[in-house]
Amino acid sequence: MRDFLLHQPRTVTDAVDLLQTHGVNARPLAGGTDLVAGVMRDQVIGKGMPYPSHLVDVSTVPDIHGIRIGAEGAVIGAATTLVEIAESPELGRSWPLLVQAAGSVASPEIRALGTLGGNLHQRPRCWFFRNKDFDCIKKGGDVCFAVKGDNRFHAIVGGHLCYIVHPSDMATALLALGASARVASPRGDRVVSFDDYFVNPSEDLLRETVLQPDELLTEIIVPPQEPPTHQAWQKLNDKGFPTWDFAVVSAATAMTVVDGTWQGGRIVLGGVAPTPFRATVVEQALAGRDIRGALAGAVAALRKVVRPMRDNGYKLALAEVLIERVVLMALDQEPAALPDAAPAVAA
Amino acid sequence: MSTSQALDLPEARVLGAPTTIVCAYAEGTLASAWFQAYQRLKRTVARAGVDAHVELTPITALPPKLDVLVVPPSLAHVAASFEGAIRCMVMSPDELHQKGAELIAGLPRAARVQPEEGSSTSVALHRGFQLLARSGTDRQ
Repeated sequence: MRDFLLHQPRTVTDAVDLLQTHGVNARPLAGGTDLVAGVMRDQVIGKGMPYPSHLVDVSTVPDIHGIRIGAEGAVIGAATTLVEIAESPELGRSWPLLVQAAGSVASPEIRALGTLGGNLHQRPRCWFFRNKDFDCIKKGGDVCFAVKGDNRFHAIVGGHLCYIVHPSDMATALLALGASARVASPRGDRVVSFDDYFVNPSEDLLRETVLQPDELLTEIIVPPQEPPTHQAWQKLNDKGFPTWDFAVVSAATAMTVVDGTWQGGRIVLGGVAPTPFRATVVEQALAGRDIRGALAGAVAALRKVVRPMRDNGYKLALAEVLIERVVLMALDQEPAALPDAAPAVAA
Repeated sequence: MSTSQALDLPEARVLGAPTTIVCAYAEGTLASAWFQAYQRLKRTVARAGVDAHVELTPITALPPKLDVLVVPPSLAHVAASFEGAIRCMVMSPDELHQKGAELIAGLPRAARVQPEEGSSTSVALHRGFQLLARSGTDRQ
C-alpha cells in the first residue's frame, strides 16, 4: 500500500467538494472491500488509472445511509451495507430479488462491511486488469490480454476492445427492477436510470459508469413493481454454491405474468458482459406467449447476440440454463407485494 | 561504409531524436473512439517509415519530451496553453486519419543504415541499449 489521505466529511456537499478538489486522484470510500483491500493493495494502477492519493470516506455521511420505503418505492442510501439490505423484511416483501441478490454477495464479513454503492462501483473482474504486471487497455495500456490469453471468465457479449465482466450482483438485480440512481455533484443532483448508468468499453475504456470524478452516488431508487412482478435470482460461481465468490453467470428477473403468459418485465444477466446485460432478445421472444411453452425457444435467441471467445463458450450454456431456471422459479412464486403507502424507515 | 555515410543517403536525415507524437486524453476518461484513432495513427506512422513514435497518455501526465501534441476537441483549451512550446493539433477521431496523414507528410524519413555493397557485415544503429535500426531496414 502507498500513502493516502483519508477525508471524513459529514455532508454530501462536503464530500462532493472534496471529490471536485482532488479530481481523479480522489475516490469515494465506503466499505473499502474492493478499493482498499483489492485495487489499492494489489497496486492496480496504470497510465490511465492513477493510484488514489485521497480517499473520501462517505460512511461518515449519515444522509446517504439507510432504507426508506413508501408508496414511491424504496430509497436506499448508497452507504447502506449489504447485510442491511439482505436482512430487511420490508425490502424482502416487495423486492425479494434485491434481498436475494444482496444475500448472495461474497461472505458475511464482506456483506457486513460492503455497501450498495461500493458494490455497484467495484472495479471489474479480469485477472489481467487486476494483476499489476499487465499494462492492459483498461489501465491505459495498448492491449487487452484476454483476447489471446486465458479468457475463460471474460465477456461473451458486449466486449469491445476490452472484455471485462461487470462483477456486481446488485447491479444485475437493480437493472431487472428498473431502478435508478441519484447522483450529487457541484452542479446539483441528477437521477440516472440504471439502463443508462453503466458505460460499456465501446464508449469509454477507463470508466464503468457515467459518474464524473466529482460526482457521488447518493441514493438508489427502486420503484414499486406495479403491476406486481414475479421475481427471482440465481447465481453460479466456480465454488459450486451461490455465495463467497463473484458470479461466473448470474440471472435476475422481475416479470409480470397473467395466466402463465408473459405480459412484460426484464431478464438481466450478470458476469457475461462489461455491464449488466439485459437479455432483451429473450424478453421479446417471450412477449405475449405462454412462458412454459415458449421458454426453451426464447432462451435460444440468446445465441443470436453472444460472441464467446476461445475459452468461455461454456458461459452461454450456463446463461441459457440460468435464464430458464430463474424464469421458472419466478413463475412458481407469488407476485411480490406492493409497498405500504405509509413511509417507513427500515434501517 | 560507416554509419555516418549511411545517414547521408538522400532520404535520410542527420541522426537525431525521433519525433514524439502524443495523443492525449482527459484523465479518468478515454473514449474508445479516441483510443482506436490513436491505434490507427500509430500503425500509419509505423508503416510510413518516418522517424517518429506515437504515445497515448492522459493530458496531466505528458512525457517531458514531446514534439507534437494531438488532442480531441474537448481538450482544445488545454492544448492552447502549450501553443508555442510544442506543435499542437486538435482533431476529432474521424479527422485523425486525414490530419494524421498531413502530419506524417511533414516528418523526416527514418534513417536508413546500409553496409557497404557486397559486404556481409551487418550494421546496426543503437542508442544506448536501444536498437534503432539494423542494416537494410528502416528504423522502427
